[in-house]
Amino acid sequence: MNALTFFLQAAAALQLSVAALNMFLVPLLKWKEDLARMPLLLREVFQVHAWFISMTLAIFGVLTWRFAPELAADAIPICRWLAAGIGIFWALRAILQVVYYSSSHWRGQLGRTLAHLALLFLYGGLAVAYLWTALAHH
Amino acid sequence: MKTSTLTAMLQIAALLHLGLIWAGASMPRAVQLGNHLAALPVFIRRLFYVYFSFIGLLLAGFGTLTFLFAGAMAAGEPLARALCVLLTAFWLLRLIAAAFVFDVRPYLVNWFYHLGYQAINLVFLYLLVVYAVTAWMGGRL
Repeated sequence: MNALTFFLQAAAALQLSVAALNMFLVPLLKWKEDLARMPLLLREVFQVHAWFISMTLAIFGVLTWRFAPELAADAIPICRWLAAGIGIFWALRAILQVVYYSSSHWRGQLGRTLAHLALLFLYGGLAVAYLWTALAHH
Repeated sequence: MKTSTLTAMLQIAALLHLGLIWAGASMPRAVQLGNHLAALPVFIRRLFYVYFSFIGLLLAGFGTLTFLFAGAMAAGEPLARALCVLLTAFWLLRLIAAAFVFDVRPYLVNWFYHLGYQAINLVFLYLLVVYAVTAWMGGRL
């Protein structure tokens, strides 16, 4: 197994973990009362979006785990496009973590600051792994 | 059915993703999303918009992959076929959500919204069938 295959399988495992964690975000962060103030349809949209983000991360994770050697070897054109697509997804997510979410959520609170940095490195790391995979053979 | 027919059906499916993006983009105005979200804490409001944007991004990504690799999917290439299997599950769950989770009746206030809602459900069904057929028959035609 080469290093890129190993990193891709680690990325797959991380994405499956994030997919599972995302399913429990509402109870974990105690948002139930806040969400209860939303109209029913929007509450349902929020919940369904959360499920489908998890579902998509699971798709990314399963495909990456199963096809890591092919992705690392750039065996066929779809490998490069899939890696580029997932890489762009995570790059945008990392950028939003910095420019869209207010720093007031974490500034001055050690635990939240560490969580913010951990997520930033996770999203950025996933972006680098996939974009490297997409561009390595180009 | 011939491989070329399945390829054409997949390319139509890819283009239908654009319609779903357009429908999604019109949703905030139809349900006055901004007013409803204003009552929420900033973090949850921003998370809602991040989810919303990324669902749009995913539709664009799935549509692009399907359009560019319709031939590989129809030919049963393993990675393309695996993607079809997972997209079948994705659209099956989306159709189930449309049927059993959402209650959109209060928002279907005119014939245009009624028509759009039914059209979207037909698109979900079409995507489910095309990806399922491709996952099942790709490479065996």
